Amino acid sequence: MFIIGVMLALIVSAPLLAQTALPLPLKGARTVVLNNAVGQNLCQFVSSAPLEEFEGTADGIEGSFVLDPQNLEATRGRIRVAVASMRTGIARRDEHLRSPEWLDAERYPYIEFELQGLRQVRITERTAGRVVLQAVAVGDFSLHGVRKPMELPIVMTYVPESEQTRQRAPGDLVQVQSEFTISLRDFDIRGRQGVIGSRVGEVIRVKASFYGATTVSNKP
Amino acid sequence: MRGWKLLQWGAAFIAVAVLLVWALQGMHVFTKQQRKVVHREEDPLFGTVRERVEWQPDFRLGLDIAGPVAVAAGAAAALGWWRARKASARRMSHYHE
Repeated sequence: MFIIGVMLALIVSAPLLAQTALPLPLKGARTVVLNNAVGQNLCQFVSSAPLEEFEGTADGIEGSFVLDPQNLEATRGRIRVAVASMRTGIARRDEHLRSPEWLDAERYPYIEFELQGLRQVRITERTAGRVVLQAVAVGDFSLHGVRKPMELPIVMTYVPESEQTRQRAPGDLVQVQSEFTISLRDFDIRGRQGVIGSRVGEVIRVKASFYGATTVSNKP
Repeated sequence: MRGWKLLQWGAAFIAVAVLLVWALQGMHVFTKQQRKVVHREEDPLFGTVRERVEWQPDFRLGLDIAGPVAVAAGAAAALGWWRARKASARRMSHYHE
């Protein structure tokens, strides 16, 4: 009975204890700092409602994460997006977006994701030049003063430093892409009465692209 | 009377023109000042398509401007029509006298 119990516990906890290594000859944790020289850090969002569909972008993005090549699940970090950098092509709507009725940029100037780890890490491509992996990023998403645990699907591409990469930035280069949705109600965003659901979608689709470079260069 | 006629037709033209421009420019609720332009290029380093987004000036008349302008022009046209009609009626009564 005891042995069966131990086996069951191992089966259940196996995914939690899994450690996936980056199939590259790298040692020691690396801090990846977002860097626009590597690629444009950008969040694109789309609101679809019966009366109106609009899209926008936010490019005031900063952050970093620590990545252990021997244990990708232990990746930790924080990425934040400045609400003031959100644009929709209409100045008046941008003002509304930042107003206390909507995102309240004055009180909550940043949208933040605190990465607490990766799950279901799967290496999908491995060449001499790069490693691509898919995973689920687990962490807390903060928006409009509301913090909620969220799991975001990501695709991460890791490119070890080379002559080519150094033309963009020193260090290994990393790209992270993610597509997910945010429910405005979950984050207590109510807007003007009757607008959500008619002119602003109840759920916002987000497509994020982050680019960064490791701070410790492998080569001089 | 000629002045009122001019106001009537001029204002009616403005109201129709504004609504026509608004309809042709996509019937936006708010006036757009910019449009999103996405530049896509192959990224050999990451093996993906890299997107670079920029906002370019692009004016699209919205209902926030077109609406009040059309209403004001419509009201001016109605006033012109009413005053022209009144002037015409007065002239006719003078003629009959």
